[in-house]
Amino acid sequence: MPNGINGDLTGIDFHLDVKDLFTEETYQRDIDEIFKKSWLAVAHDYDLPNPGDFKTRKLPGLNYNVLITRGKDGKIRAFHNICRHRGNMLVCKAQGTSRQGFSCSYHGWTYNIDGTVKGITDREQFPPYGNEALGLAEIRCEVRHSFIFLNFDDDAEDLDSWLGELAPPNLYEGFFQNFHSTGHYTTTIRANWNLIMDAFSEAYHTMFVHKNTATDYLGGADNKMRHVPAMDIWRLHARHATAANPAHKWADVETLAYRHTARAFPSFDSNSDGLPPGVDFGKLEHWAFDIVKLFPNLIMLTGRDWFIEGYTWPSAANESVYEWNIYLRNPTTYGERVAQEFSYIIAREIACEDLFLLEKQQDALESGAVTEYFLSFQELIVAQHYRSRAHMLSTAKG
Amino acid sequence: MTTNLPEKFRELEQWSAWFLETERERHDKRAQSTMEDLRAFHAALTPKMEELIQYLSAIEWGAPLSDEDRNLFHLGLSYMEAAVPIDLKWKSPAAEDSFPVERLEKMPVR
Repeated sequence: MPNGINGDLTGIDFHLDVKDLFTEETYQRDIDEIFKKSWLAVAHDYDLPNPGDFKTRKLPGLNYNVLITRGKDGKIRAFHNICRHRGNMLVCKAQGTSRQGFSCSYHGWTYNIDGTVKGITDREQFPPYGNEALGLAEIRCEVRHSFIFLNFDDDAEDLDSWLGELAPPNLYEGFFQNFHSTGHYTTTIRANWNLIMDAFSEAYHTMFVHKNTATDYLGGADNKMRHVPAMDIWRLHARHATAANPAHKWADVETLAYRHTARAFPSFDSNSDGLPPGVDFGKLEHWAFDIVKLFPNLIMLTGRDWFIEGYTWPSAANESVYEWNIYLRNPTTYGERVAQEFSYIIAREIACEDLFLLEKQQDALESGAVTEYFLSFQELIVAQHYRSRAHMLSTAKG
Repeated sequence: MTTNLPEKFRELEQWSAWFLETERERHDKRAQSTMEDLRAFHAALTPKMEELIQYLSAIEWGAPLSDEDRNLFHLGLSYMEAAVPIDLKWKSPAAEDSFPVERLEKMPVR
């Protein structure tokens, strides 16, 4: 086993058979036993800064539409976005502010921002159901590291236990809140969600896949194979650091851009002074960025002055919705914002290279002609994904 | 809508087709261009880009922009979009072996 890898590897298999991954039956089990029982990050608390702020979103695959609100008490809550009267969608807007709460467009039932029912039109005509029972259906909801996590299973372990080593609030203290939000990229990919998670879980592919965008950004003369210098494998989640290539050759536009703003990629600022302990956790001399895998469906990349989050939502046995978001520091001027555009564009192009192979891999594996994975130690987080899956599926059975 | 630029960038006004507000529009313009188009745009702007960024660095982010300054800002953003295929030595305006940007259903509006 290479140096720098920490964690209990019991039950991790490097030789996997993925032939059952693409059936309707597996897809439904993944939804029912993994996605409906895991803590899922669905938004950030800073998207709802003030009491009365709300947002709604559909979760592909689960087919839930959720309403997330910040109450007058400052608390973030989540509900199924459904009027309790006869099941109409309550809030149709994607986001907004409503200190007075919500009103159903069908028969005018109203709800407070905390989900309790406020008004029932012509109430005397209803038999007594009781107010409490008629509040919006609440979803378990917790905030950590600015992420709003939901869990649809009342019996699931609490968030602290779920996150394990990633739970301590100081790990990312002040980190995720200080960025310029740019909006999401979303695309539908004809590939099973597990394949997408696999693609973003290792750095082994970077020598080949990023040939047009970032050929020499990782590794360097003393680490030509780009071995991961630090990796933590936990019960469900994992993280690893990537090593910057100090001899990376700068493109002219990159030199121009990074004279005027902080480096993001493919050149990196390895100085992690002042960052919370979760970022550059490996304390590397030539640090590029960290990759944090939050089972089941979130991969975060954290760098000196940027982060990227990628969410994979299964939408069919052979299809997924992939959402990702690139964040950079707030620009100080319009000139800096022009320079930052280089980071946004190159990041988008790098991500598109990552996504390119997936539909072809799906076609190949779905054919059933070849169904095995032969994984290396550098792909340990891919192997671990299948242990985490097995854990969720066996818990369900038992 | 004016197609003017601030005084010292007047010579770049011929590139007003690149005064585009959103990443989607700028990308699509790049995708619809030939490499010769991109090379010409890139060659015209490269010598002025340092000055362009410095000019816009005098304007605090979020402050209201005049029409001329807004055009210059959008032109600068377009340069970054168009420079990637040129400076990274691609054979076409889209990288080969890459997921088509056209398939991104949602892209940032900025």
